[in-house]
Amino acid sequence: MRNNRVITSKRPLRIFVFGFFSVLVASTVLHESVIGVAGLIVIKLFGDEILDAVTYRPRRKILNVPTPPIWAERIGSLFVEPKQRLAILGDREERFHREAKQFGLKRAKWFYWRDVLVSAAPFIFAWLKRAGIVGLIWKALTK
Amino acid sequence: MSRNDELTDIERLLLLAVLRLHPHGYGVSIRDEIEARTKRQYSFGTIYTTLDRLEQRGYVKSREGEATAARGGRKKLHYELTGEGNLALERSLAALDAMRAGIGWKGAVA
Repeated sequence: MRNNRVITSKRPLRIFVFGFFSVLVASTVLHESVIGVAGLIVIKLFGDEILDAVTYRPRRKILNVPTPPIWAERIGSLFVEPKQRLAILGDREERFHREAKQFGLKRAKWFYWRDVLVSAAPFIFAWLKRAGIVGLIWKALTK
Repeated sequence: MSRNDELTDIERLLLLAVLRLHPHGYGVSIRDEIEARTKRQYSFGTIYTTLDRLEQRGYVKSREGEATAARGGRKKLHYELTGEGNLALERSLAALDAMRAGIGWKGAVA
């Protein structure tokens, strides 16, 4: 009778230890997964942008070539289809260098900004279409 | 022909530009080609969103090209017309020609 009492008194401790470690392991796995998934999402969405920021932009500074306005570049690559992002930045820069030679740096920067601002509407509209709800409405309207 | 098979004015222009520049058409050259021939200016936003739409419909296909120093080391995205795109363009131009034929009018009304 006395022995039985001792055994039953250890049970809650075991449950607590098992529960504690289970929760610890589960929360660690969840935490790592969330971080992993969040990391994948960030790389998927902004991978090219990060690559651009750490490789191409510093390289231009080292080479000391005229650079397009940095904020125009940043704003101009928002809402763009990820596949096209670097190509568009490259196209704009190619045109920027040509216009800088032709019209001067100041006007080339203005042309760059103008293209970014004029391009905003089609890019935002395409982004909204990709996003879903508007896409469904659009499909219903154009059926 | 369903409404989705029809081409808009900008889509027709882009397909023709891609066809003219085949197989090296990319953003800047396509924009220059349209500007030089039609005197119309389109932003990269309009050009790329339209090309993306055409690619989704299977009328053009894209492939990554070379990177140059003038582009800050970024790769080009070349566009090519597909067989389906060729067919859609021909249908669209034939419809225009059919509407234009026999009205004895050669140019724009000033």
